[in-house]
Amino acid sequence: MERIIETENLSKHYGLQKAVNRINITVRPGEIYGFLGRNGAGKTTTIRMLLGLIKPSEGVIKIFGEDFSENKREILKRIGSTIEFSGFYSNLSAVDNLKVNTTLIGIKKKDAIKDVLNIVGLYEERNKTVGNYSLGMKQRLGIARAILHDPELLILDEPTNGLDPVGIKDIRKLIKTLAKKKKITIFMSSHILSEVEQLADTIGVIHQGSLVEEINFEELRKKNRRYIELKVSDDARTVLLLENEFGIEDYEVYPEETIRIYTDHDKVARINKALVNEEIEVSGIRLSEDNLEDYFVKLTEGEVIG
Amino acid sequence: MANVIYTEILKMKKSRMFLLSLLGGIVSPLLNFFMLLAYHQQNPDETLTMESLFNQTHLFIVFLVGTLLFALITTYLFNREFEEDTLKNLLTIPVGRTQLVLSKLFILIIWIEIIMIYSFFMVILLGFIGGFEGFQTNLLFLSFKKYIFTGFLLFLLTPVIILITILFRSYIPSIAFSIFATLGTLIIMNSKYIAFYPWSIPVLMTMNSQQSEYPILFSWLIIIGVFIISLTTTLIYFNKTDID
Ligand SMILES: Nc1ncnc2c1ncn2[C@@H]1O[C@H](COP(=O)(O)OP(=O)(O)OP(=O)(O)O)[C@@H](O)[C@H]1O
Ligand SMILES: [Mg+2]
Repeated sequence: MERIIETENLSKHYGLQKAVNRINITVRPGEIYGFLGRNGAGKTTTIRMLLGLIKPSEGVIKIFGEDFSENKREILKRIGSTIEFSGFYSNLSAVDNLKVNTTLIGIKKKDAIKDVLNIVGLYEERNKTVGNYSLGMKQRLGIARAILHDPELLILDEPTNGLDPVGIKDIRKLIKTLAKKKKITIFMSSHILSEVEQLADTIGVIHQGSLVEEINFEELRKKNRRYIELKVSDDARTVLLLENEFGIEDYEVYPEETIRIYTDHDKVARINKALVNEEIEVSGIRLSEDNLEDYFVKLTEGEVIG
Repeated sequence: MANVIYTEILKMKKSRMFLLSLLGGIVSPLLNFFMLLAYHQQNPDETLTMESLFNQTHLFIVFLVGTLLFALITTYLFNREFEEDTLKNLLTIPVGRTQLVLSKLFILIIWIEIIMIYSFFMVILLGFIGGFEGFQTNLLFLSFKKYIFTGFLLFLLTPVIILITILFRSYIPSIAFSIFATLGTLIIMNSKYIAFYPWSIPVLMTMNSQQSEYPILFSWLIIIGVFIISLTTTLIYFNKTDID
């Protein structure tokens, strides 16, 4: 199976508003996919469609290589999910809430509930009624509920929403472990770049219902590394000088005698002096402003994500 | 299906609504008990009979309390999944939407009959305490049958409330509706339309004093028709509606 999730022109319209507008997502086996977007971008709406809670206005969803609308039941059995405002029976304890799921799913494993509560660190509070749980505890219980049946795919809607910094770190670690140790593919939404940055292999950026970027993180980092850009009269000799005099190998040559240097930024003054000494004319030196954060600000029209 | 029903029962654990509904079930027997006692004080030569306590309580339930109380329970069963936002979990497990409605319907009839039986035994208990006369096996048997039958007829009307609950996802519309339905019963009760108005049909069918000019089959067709049509509409609507 090449792809765990694949959507084709997936759309959801509410009246005239295109909450999700013809998006094509590709999630590969074993990866963590960060679905990034600002408030109201359409993340939850997309996830609702992926879970069959709402019907797409247009488009096709394929999960595990099969058409979702035709194999909904079978596909959902292999997915675990948390979704915005997914609740619990407030009169029941954590254990009883999970028992609802183990019963309905037909999980036979005796310690399934105990195991997941241990994983999310709620075992000590397992008998407390969920009505008395804090927001962060509920969030963690939601994840426990999602992994109860050893799913192959986890779909998490803003999993760290409402958690304190320690809680965020815990969940981040948990997600990483689930992906690496249990080989679960994870599709998670977030409106915080830094959160996705530390976890995801691939990110998809959704803005006003449209997918404006889908890119592998490695590539993205490369694309967004800080650099010093030199405009010179002779790029071939400049490159020689950079390599021989300064030992710089991480650079790229662009058209119009432009060179981007990705390392040794502290040596810029010395480089300039050396070039001048070699009678290579330097017509411009510029430090790139681009970093990841700025990149996303640009993608989402100058307003900050997170 | 058995699994879904089992979890429905599990969900009732420590549920305030269950206790509240039992409280609702005690209202009619208790109220009528005191009314009969008060009446007895003014007319000491008339004896207090079990039969009158059974009938008065039944009248109260079939007219007033039943429709409202059972609408409340119905709304609770369905609305809590929206209110506590647990529906998304159920549907993504996945539990079939039709299966979910039918399981809840099953719980509903059990719950309604529990309240009816509970009221029945409250009548016996109160009658015993108050020294009412006429504890006969035959009376007990017939009354028990009548209470169960009343519960069943009132149950046949609950899918209307289910539909309203799923449409509006709130308590107010279904409670308002059941109040109007009850008022309708009071108005129609003494006319010949008692045989046609769904909410007065249980009255017609369970009270000996009520006679219809029309064959009882008409009324059966109507009440079963209401059940089938509202349930089918509920299932169709629920199966295609978006869950936000
Ligand atoms: N049922 C609905 N009816 C009308 N509009 C809706 C409905 N559900 C969502 N929307 C609209 O669709 C857009 C996308 O909403 P969505 O909840 O998917 O955003 P989101 O990316 O999850 O945002 P957040 O980060 O705040 O959770 C919003 O403008 C929202 O108002
Ligand atoms: Mg959201």
